[in-house]
Amino acid sequence: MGHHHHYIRPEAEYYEMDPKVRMTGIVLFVVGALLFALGVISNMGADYGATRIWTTLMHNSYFFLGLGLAATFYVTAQTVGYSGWVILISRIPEAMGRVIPFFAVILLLVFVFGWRSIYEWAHIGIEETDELIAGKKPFLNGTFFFGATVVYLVLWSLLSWMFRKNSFENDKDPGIHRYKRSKVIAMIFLFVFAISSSTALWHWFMSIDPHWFSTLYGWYCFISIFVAAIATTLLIVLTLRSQGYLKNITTDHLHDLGKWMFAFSVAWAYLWFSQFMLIWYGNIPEETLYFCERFEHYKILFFLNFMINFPLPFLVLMTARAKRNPNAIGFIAVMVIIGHWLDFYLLAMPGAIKSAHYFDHGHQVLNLGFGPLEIGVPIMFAGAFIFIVFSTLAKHSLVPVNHPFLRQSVEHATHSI
Amino acid sequence: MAKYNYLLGLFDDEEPLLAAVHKIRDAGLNIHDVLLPFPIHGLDDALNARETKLHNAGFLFGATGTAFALLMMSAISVFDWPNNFGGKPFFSMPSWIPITFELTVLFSAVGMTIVYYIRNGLSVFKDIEPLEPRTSSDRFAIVFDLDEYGEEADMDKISGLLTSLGALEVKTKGMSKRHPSHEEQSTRGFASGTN
Repeated sequence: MGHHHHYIRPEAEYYEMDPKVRMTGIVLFVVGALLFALGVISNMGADYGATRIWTTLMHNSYFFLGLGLAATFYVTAQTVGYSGWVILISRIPEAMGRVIPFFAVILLLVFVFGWRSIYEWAHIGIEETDELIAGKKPFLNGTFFFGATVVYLVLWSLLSWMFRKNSFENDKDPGIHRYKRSKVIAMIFLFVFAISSSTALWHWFMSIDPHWFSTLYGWYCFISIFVAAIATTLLIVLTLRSQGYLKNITTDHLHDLGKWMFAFSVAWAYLWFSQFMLIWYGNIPEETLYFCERFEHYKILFFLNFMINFPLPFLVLMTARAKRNPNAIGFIAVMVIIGHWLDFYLLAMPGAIKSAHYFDHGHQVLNLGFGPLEIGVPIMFAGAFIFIVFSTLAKHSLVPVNHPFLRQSVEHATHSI
Repeated sequence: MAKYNYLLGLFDDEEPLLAAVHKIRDAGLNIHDVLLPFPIHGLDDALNARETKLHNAGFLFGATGTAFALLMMSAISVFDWPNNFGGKPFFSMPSWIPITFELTVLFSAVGMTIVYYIRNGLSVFKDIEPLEPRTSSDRFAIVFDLDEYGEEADMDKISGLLTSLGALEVKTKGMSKRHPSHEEQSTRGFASGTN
C-alpha cells in the first residue's frame, strides 16, 4: 500500500478514563467483593471451607496475574520477532502487564495463609503416610515452594515494569537506543518466562494433584492463559475503538488479532487432546486418576470447557470474514476468556476438594458446585483488572509515537476480502 | 496461426507496475492478467481481484478426508478384523483422531493443489507455453486480451498509455491456447505470478 495514500504520521493520543469504564470497574469490584464476603461467611466453619476459599482465591489471582503475564509475553515475543504490525496495539498488552505486581501480592498472601489448605502435600505429617508425596519432597516442600514463588513474582513484576517503562519513556526520548533496549529486556523476560511459565504452574497448580504429573502441563497452562490474554487485548482494543480512540487500528489489525485467537485455540486443543489421549490409551491408574476426578464429578464442566475453547472459536473464526467482524471476534473473545477461566477452575478445584476429604452421609463429596464464592471472586478481580489497566492506559499515549516500526503498523494490510 | 492474441506491457520493477495498474483501471481499461516474478503487496486491491474460492475446495476435500479416515478405520477395526487392544472399544474414537487429522490435511492439501493446477491451466505432464518467459526472471507484465480490444485505435491507445506509464517494452504475443484471466483463475496474489 502507500502508492495512492500518503503516509500520515500518527500523533500521540491520550486516553481519558471513560466514566463508564471507571464505573464498570468499581461496580464489578464492589458486587464481587459482596458476593465474596457472602461466600466466605457461608463456607466458614465447614470441613471443606478453608480449602474452598483459598483455592478459589489462588485460582483467580493466578488467572488475572496470568492475563498480564501472557500479555507481556505477547508484546515481548513480538519485539524479539521484529514484528511491525502490532506496534499500534502494543500499548494495550504493556498496560495489562501492570496488573502483575498487584495480583502477585494477593497470590503471595494466599499462599502464606492458605497453602496448607490448598495443597495435600503441605499437610503436616503427610510424608509419613504417603510414599509418593514423600518421594516428591525435594520439589514439593515449603522452602522451595515459597522461595521459587517469590523469585517468579519478583522477576515477572520487575521485567514487565522495565519493558513498560522503557516503552513509555521512548515517547519523550526518541532514538533507536530505546528500541535496542526494549529488545534486550524482552530477551531476558522471554528467557525467564520460558522456564518459569512451566515450573511455576507445576508448583502452583499441578501439585494440587500431588500423585499425578503430566510432562506437557506447563505448555498446556501457558497456551490456556495466552489465548485468554489475546482475547482480553482484543476486547480492550474494541472498547477503545468504540470510544473513538485508536483510529489507526484498522480491520486488518483486528483480522490478525483474530488469527492469533483462532490459532492458539487450536494449539490449546492440540495439547488438551494430546494429554487426554495418551493417558486414556496408557490407562495407568496413577495417570488416569486426574481425568477420573474430573470426568466423574465435573462431567458437564469438563465437556463445556472443551466445547467453549475449541469447537466454538474454531468454527466461528474459521473464515476471514468472521475474523474481520468486530461483533464476531468480540463475542468469541468473551467466550474464550470465560472458557479458559473455567479451564483453570478445573485444574485447581477438583484436586483441592478431593484432598479436603469432606464426607456427607458417608460418601466423599468431590464437587461442591458454584456458589457466591466462585462467582464473586472473579467478578471482584475483573473489576480491579479493568480499573488498573485502563488507569495505566490513561497515563501515556496510546500510540508509541517514536517506535521505529510505527509506519509499518499504520500501513499494515492483510490483503483479504 | 495463433488463435489467441495478447498485448503485453513489460516493466522492470514493482513500483511503476503497481502505479500503472491503478492508472489503467482509472482509465476504464480491463486488465486480463498481471505476471510477476514474485507476489506484490497491494496488487489484489489494485486489480480489485475477486477473493479466491480455493479455500472452499480445501474445506470440501478436508471434510472428505475426515469421512474417509473414519469410514476406513471403522471398516478395518470394527467390521473386518476387530482386535482387542488393551480393553479399548473397537470403535475407538480418541485413538483415531491423529489419523483422521492427518488424512484431513492430506486430502485438503492434495485436493487444493489439483484444483489450483486445473484452474490455472497448469499441468505436470507437459510444459506450457509461457506468455513471456522473462516474467519468471526480471520483468513484470500487464496483459491485455486483444480479442477484447481488437481495433487499431484501441491498441494504439493502450500502447501509448503503457509507454507513458513507464513500460520498457510493449509487444503482442499469439498463443495457441487461451491464457485464463486473473478472474478465471480466481486465485489471489500468488496466481498472478504464474504463467
